[in-house]
Amino acid sequence: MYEIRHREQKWPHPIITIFIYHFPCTTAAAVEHKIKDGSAEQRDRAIYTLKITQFIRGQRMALAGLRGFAASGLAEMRREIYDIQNSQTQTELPGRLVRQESGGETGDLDGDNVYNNTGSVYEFYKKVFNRNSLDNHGMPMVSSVHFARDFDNAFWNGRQMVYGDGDDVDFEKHKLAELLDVMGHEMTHGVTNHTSNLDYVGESGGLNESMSDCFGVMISQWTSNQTVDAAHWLIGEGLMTGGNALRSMRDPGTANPYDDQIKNYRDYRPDMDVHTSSGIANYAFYLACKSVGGRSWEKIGKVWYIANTARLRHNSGFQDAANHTFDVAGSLFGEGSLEENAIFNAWREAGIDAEKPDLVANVRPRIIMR
Amino acid sequence: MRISFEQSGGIAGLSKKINLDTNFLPSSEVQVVQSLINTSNFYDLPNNTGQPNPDAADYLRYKITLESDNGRKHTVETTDITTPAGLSPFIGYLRRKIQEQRR
Repeated sequence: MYEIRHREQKWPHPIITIFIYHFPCTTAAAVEHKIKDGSAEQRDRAIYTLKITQFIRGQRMALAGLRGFAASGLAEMRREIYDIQNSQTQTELPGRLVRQESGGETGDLDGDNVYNNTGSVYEFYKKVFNRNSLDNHGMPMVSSVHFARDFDNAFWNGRQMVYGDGDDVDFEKHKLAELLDVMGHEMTHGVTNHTSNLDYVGESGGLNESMSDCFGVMISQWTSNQTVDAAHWLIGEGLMTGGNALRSMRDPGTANPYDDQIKNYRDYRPDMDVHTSSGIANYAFYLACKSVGGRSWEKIGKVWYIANTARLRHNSGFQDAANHTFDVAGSLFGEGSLEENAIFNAWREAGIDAEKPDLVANVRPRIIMR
Repeated sequence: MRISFEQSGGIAGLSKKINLDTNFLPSSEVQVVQSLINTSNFYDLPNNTGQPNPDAADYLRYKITLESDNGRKHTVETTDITTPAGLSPFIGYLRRKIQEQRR
């Protein structure tokens, strides 16, 4: 077993001490006044305070969200399923509305599967993380089925999910719409857009993809109440005609004959497809879950959720993900806890040594007052 | 005319490629191809049809190169998100050719 690296800063964080000492009754107005009219030193300190206050507020909101789930219902779920009728033209999306919330079955296999899977994904995010739809404000979850002809893909176009039928050559027909983890994967792209907003290129792109796989696999496990030991840890099982699955989180790079996913950061190259480099973080998530045991969404999944929704930024890389998941685990479960250790060791197996993140640098620049 | 078509990315991150030479296609199919090229205004399309919405994910990327027997060559790169409406049928045809090849 590896030892946890010494953490330089312990809570209460020295910055928090500065904050309490210098700004005992901080109000936005007081800080704003210091920024506008104070000395250079006062201004710097005030900006610093604002960043920290905003950061803590973000963390607190993410945590409060997790605690408050018990009382919430699913009343705000809004699903819309469209049929794009084999068109491949973006401007024709979403197509013809075939089913919406509380509407009866369409009789179309793909349309009804996508409707049901959307409901499962919504329910997962609501019950486990108290998240109300992709944007946490109940936005309608829109999907179009029958995109193009014999189309071997499902994607998120930035506003909605789009599903092809499959061609029975590489992808089994109707499987994309049937598989819950595929829906979980696509909808998580929407969640990521509304939170960390990880850029879809380079390391942040690999992380974005991995978030979709991690939550996709968690949703499958949650729906059948599977333990980490009972789960198969595959993404898209049975989808490919010539292989087991799209990806394996337990053993990246082995799911099918074309699977070239990597599982160690030393093999990362910036020109890789984001579905190849995502193996690094997939593997770390799997190892951490296996090490802690129980159910993926209860502990390690919670850490990953907080990291994606409250910590990571658009340009975060694998080191940032390691640092923040490690740090969040320390905050949630305690320093030196089983969970924190498991996450440190998991990232080390994936080629990254987690370090204490710089929480001030992490704060999103847009909240700094001009 | 030689046609090179490459498809990559998507939820699987798979790359597939096909090279066609119209000299070896039946004349009826050559007419279809020619009409698809005309409909798309292929030679007037930019080399890249633009960046997809930065929020989008898992879309397929396509790269089409046409090289006529007199040496005229043009390449267009596009995605599921940014394909011009006129080009969609041509991409549909090229995807079917890949499927036939892999079947």
